[in-house]
Amino acid sequence: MHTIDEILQILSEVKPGIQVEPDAELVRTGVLDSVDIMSVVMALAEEFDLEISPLDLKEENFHTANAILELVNRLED
Amino acid sequence: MAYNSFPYLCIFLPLCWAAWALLPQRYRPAALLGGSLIFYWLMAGTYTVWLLLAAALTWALGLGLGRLQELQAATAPALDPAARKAAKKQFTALQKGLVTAGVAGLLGLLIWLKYLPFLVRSLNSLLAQLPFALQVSAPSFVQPVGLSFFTLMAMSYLFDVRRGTTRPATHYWQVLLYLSFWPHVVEGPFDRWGQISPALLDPPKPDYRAFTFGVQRILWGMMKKLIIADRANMYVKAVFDDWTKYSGAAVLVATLLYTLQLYAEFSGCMDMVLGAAECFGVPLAENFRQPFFARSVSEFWRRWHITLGAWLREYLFQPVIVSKPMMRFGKWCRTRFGAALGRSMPVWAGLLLTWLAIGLWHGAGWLYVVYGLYYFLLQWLGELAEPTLLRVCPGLARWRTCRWYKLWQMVRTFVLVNFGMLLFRSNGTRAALDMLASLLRPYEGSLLIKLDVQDLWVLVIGAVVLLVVDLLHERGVAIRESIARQPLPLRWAVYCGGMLAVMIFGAYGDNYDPAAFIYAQF
Repeated sequence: MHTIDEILQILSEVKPGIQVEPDAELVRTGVLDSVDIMSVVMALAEEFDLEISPLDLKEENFHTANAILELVNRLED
Repeated sequence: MAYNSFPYLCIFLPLCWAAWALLPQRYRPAALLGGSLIFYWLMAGTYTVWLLLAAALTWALGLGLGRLQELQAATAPALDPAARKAAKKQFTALQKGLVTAGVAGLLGLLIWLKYLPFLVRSLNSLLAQLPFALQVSAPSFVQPVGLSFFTLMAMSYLFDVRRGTTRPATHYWQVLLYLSFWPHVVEGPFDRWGQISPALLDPPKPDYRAFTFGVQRILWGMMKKLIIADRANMYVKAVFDDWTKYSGAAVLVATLLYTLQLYAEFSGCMDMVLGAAECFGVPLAENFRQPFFARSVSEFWRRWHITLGAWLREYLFQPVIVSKPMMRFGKWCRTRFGAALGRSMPVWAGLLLTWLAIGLWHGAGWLYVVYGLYYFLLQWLGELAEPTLLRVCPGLARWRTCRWYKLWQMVRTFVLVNFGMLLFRSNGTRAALDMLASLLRPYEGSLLIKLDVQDLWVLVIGAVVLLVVDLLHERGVAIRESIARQPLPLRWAVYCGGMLAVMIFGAYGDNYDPAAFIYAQF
């Protein structure tokens, strides 16, 4: 199981300068666009050695840091 | 039979609606299919065969994919884990094979009919550099109308069935209706099978509100097309087709008018398309969302031709980046250039591929490759510059919420989009560069090119009306619902005003050249 801090750390590396709360909306507020999401995906794949399929790339899996954490934990299971 | 023509609006559409509404519910899909095939035949003649073939291939492969998925689900519970894993691998390979065959067939059709002459011309340019004479004869095809739309929709159908997000159609006519449905076959939007098939195959009852809302939207689209786009086209055509004669303000006005023309025409066409489908209870996907309120070029493309961007994002950009070769490329970059570039370079590669696809989708020529590269460079440079800007100017993150900074971002995006429009409309890359350079030279002649003062006023007022409507939509005002809440005389005053505006200010008749829909040629 991973922690929300690990996800927040990845987000701050991908988008320098942002400070987000675990439940803050990321996609609809424009904090993350489709390119940022793919950078997050690359970082997650590298950091946690995950295999992410196109079906996992739904907006609901990236709309908050907590949603990203859920995705990571689900993929690891 | 264009969407704004008299036969379409006054004969075809009412007859189809009457047939659809009067037939018993179970026969309504037949009315839609009959109407779609007649419409396509009138537009494409014998080239309809390509549409029939694409639909047949898509239906057969979709059915095959569905059968394999059913078979896998039925056999899996009886197998032990090792055998289940082996069976899954086999089923996956078979499904991949079917999807590959479908993509090869559909993409092959698209390349053969749309891109082969361009590829042969480019090859001949290379061969001309050789010391001996060798040329390949360029085939000449007539591109069937809507080819780029129905082939991509057919591919999305196969991808969705393969991913298990939608069930395949049982009958051939169902896929044929999905691909040929007349409101979206010529200029899109790229609708998904899962989104519109319920309304196509199990149509709702005729609904007064849906019908009147649909007619209102068609009227609004007509206003945009006939009052604004076709009027602006005369100025634009005169300057862009004879660019060597013009410079400075004339080129600037022509570029701004082309942006206005393309927006009014394409979004107007979408209004006519979505309005027509709404009359039949079919909810097509929105293709525009106030694009000129975008604060970056990437946001602009999420608001302009939304369904093309979504198609490419979902079926090209994202799958390419999470593919195994790209993941390996990411690892290789990470070991060579560090974590940040290892993360970014595969994304940039996917971005480049997507922009090239957007460029080439718009046309088979090097100009469109340059057009795609222009937007790639803008987005890529923006991505590169952002961390540096934040370091140099830490207050930038705070400014982003400031109203004036947002306005500056919108103006900046509008200017960059206009450069792209100049490139897009010009007669080749050489002409685009000449026109860009000519912007710096003064223009001595009259700015009233092919239009008189009254025409320019109509355009200015039309642009202001478009802006106000977009502003209301941006603020979440539902204009048609607001009109529907008004008393009957006021509602009809609005409708009659719209019709009169089209009749009085529409650019048609002896003094005007009728302009074909620009996106219909893609």
